[in-house]
Amino acid sequence: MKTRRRNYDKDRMSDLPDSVLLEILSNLKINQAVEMSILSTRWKNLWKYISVLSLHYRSFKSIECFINFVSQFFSFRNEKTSVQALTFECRYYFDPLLLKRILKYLFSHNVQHLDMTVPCTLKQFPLSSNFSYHSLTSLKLSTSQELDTVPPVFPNSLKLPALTNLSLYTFTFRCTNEDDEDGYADPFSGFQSLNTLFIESCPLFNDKEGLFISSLSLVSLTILLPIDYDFYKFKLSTPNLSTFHFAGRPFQNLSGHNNITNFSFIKHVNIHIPLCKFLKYPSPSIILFDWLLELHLMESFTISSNALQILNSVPDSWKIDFPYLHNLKLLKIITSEVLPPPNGTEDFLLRNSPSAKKVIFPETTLKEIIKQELRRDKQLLKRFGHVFDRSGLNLDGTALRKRFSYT
Amino acid sequence: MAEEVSSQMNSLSISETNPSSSATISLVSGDDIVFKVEPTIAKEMETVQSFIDETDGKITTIPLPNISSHDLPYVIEYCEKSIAGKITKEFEAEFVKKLNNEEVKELFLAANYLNIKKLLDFLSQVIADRIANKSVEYVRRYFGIENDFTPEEEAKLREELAWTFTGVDPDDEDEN
Repeated sequence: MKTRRRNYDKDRMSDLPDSVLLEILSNLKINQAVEMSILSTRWKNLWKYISVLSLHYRSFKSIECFINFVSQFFSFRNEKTSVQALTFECRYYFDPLLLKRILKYLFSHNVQHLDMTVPCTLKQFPLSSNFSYHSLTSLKLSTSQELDTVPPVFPNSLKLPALTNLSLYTFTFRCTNEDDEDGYADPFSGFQSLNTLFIESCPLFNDKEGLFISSLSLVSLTILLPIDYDFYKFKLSTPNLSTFHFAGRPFQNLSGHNNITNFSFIKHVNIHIPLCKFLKYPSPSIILFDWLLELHLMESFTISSNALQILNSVPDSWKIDFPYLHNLKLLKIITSEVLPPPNGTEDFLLRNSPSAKKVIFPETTLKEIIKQELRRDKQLLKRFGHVFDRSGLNLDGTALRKRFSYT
Repeated sequence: MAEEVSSQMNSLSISETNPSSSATISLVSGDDIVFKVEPTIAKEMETVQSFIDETDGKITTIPLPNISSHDLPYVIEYCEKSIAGKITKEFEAEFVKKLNNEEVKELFLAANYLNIKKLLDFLSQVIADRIANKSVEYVRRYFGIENDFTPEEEAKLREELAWTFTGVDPDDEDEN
């Protein structure tokens, strides 16, 4: 082969513009990106301009090393470089004051995408309703699940005017007025741009409280309840909602604010009810039937065979006044080997929309399907995909606070 | 595909041809091999396209002195897949499997030169994967970087950045 490398000895990599080299650094583990300072004077300060950050405990030998790193990292970053996205994970005890300081840094640097996993021992996620966090457009908060621990409270009345995507895993909702035992927590009404809301395994502070989801802008809502949540009251004031995913036990009728119910905008519905016995409580079949009455204008409907079974136990006499699903174009049924779909129920659903397409899925969790759909919908830039997938980071709060010097 | 591309020796002079919508574009590699490509491929290469636009399409032979005839077919292959909407994770995995470190670097430089954003993003991840957990010395050798720090300066910088050198031990082995 003939010689094809010209300029072989010349360092053409270092001639590339900062933005191109930063692209490489952003794809490295954060500590290695900083190490690249040593390459040459060209590379010395580049890492200070990285704006997509992933703080990953497993890149380090020990928690101490990691804490030491994090404290120095923020203080040495270029002060004028904003943080576009941060992934952060800490599964053990973490000083809430310290978390507050990190958040303060992030918000003062216009963070747009935030994905944080905090320990379950935290009492409340330390954002304050006194401030408006203008820059944030997507927020994903998770806690490390532990048995017998009340997950941290997700604060009410937060102001996140630009937030479009919110995902919460294992946070507690609590109503603002603690004397009002029958009250509703109202955590989302300050998010004027909220488009997609995903709530998984988020308990209410006590059985009497409920969750009020109030949003003019909300288009897609997902509520996933663990199998052991028997009581979960929620009401909606979401006039523009078009997609509704629900997995869990329907405990109450779908209700809107002040008993005004209007779910006519809801076009896409997924309902999954886990296999379990409901002996003590009102039959879910009545409630599920009521849901269908409310949602009768939907166009696509995904339902698990267990939910179909439950629906099947509705007395025939009720079905006489059922408005049916005139607009239905697609019916997806998720079958299960344990519990095949009952005969006849599909025909009941499709009676007024015979041209609707019927698709039968083999057993898979509805959650998976929902997640796939959400992933497809996600408008996040492609480059954040890998950032959000990374996880695994621990912090010892006290040591980090001592060394934290960027506040 | 690279094999289908007619390659012939050609002089480096820019030849003027009649502009026509179906006219193929000739890309001339640094070692003077001509690759004829469809105009849609050229569109993927912002640098080439803006050159064509600036001359109102009169010039359809574009010299690319920084890109060798070894690397250019890979770039063309990627652009073809991109136009067809067939850039999948599987394709990218296969694409990168056949490239050695030097080729990855050359393609990265070519992608930057031609301003092909998708390829550049993809290869920056590939490069990051290939230098992951490697020592500073390894990366210097790979990138061809000359260390312009004095030993004193480097020692001082290492000391200042001691907090980042406490991570996982780097791997300094060169690959074959």
